[in-house]
Amino acid sequence: MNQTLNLIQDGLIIFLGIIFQALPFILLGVFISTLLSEMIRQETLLKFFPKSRVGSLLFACFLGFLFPVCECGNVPVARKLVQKGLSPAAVLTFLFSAPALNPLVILVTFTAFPTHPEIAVYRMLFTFLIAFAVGLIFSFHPQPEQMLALKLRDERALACHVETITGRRFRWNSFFQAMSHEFFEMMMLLIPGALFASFTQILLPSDLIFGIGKGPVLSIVAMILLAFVLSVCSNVDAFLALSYFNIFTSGSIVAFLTFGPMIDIKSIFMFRGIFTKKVIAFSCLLILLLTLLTSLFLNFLVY
Amino acid sequence: MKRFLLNFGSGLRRILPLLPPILCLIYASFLAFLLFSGKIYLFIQANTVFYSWISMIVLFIIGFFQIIVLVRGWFRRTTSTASEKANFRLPSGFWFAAMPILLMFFLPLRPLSTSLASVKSATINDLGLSREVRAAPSFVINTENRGFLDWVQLFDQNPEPEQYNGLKAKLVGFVLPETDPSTSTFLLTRFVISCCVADARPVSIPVRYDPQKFSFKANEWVEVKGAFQVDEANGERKPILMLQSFQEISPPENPYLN
Repeated sequence: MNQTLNLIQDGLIIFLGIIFQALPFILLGVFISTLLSEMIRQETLLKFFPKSRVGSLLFACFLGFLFPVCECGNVPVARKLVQKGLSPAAVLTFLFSAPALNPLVILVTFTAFPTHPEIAVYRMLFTFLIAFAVGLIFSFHPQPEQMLALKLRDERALACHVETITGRRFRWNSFFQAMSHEFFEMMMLLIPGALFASFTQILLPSDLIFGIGKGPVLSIVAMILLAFVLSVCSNVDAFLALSYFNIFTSGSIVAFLTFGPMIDIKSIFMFRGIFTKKVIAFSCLLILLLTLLTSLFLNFLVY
Repeated sequence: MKRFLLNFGSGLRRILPLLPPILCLIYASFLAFLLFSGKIYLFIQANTVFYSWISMIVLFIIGFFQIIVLVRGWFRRTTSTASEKANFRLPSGFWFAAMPILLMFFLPLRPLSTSLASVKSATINDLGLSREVRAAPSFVINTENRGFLDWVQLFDQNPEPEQYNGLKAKLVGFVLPETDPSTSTFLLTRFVISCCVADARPVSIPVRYDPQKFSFKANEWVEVKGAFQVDEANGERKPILMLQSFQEISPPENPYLN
């Protein structure tokens, strides 16, 4: 009995840990997204964005360098990009590439693996390839609007409308109001995910995950599952991955580093604020397959 | 009466927009409490605490400026703000966001417990150390100065237990009882975290004690002194700390290792 109570408390401590860890990065994302909505006009943004399919996806892949957000901060920014009229496929690409393809994370990954810089290179390369591929596939969606969550669809129509009528004028008053509004919306997406992630950890102990195996194939499955369950921030996950280095295959470490920032329990919940369940499920499956493929390639052909 | 109710209603509506900034301020104050009391170390890794300072400041600013804007609006009573006020709705995530704060009131602020360690225990010491970064501090002359992780790492790198025979150690950790109590052994355990408690992994060092002289409860934090010996169990040889003395302590400010 006491044991169970302790375990539940531990689960709640983990939950709070995830929240406190995510808070600064959520705030950074909220800050950038509010700046975006309050200061940058829609035409300006769309003018910068390449028109062609491949061009816009490529641009979206490297948008993380402009908005260095992690996997919690990317959601508010992506929502704002949708509202500003960007194509959903490009936003999807941004969503998956930005958490790993940004200067901060690249720096941290190189710092974490000083003797194996190739890990960081593979991470960037695979993130780019996977995010681009997923965006490319979704860019052929016949009705891109249908990819978006219902609420966002309305907001997108409304935002375009309002902006054309009133124009934009930057005011500090509305800035803080908008930022706090955005912050609470993000909390609504973050908290159920964090709660679910923390209790999955307790119900699905890491023993089971590591029990899967350490071979060239099974280690990849184990590390992907671990990344999915742990839901740690992409800004620091390189240090965590480091502690599994030498125990698991290098391919599985790269899989952990590419899959984790794109998808985990917490972020799946947050994506629901942008895309429909169908789109999320399909892109998760795609990313899973592509991560398996790339890391198997590493394990069998490179290392 | 009707008029009173109407007034009351509009008064409430006037207060409603204050709730989100107040919650921002409560969040900021809570972070301030955790940061100043050092309790933040119970949740996140010491190197990332810096970010929490930033979020505390940002939340203070957001809450504070919103309140100023609102109060200024009340005094001006312009028509636009009045209509805005009438249409005000709490942001959809408001009650969700209040949840962690409410939780903090009910949850004891303590380090992760043995319950979690035993859930994760089968992998104990199997992983958790960034071997490439740390150099094993075998040059330390007084072995009592070696830290918890130093020992775990040494055992990991040079598993031959003979070379640790007789070396003295002084270690801090919590008690994780062995499943078989007749061995009069417990695992002195710490959690290693690299980001926040979500990635906590237990590491432990076995300690053998004289059951006539000492007794231990699960979960209690202790500082133990003793010397290592070679332990042979199930055909496996490994170092074990023979307990000479121990002291009950309160958990250290930063209970996790990294």
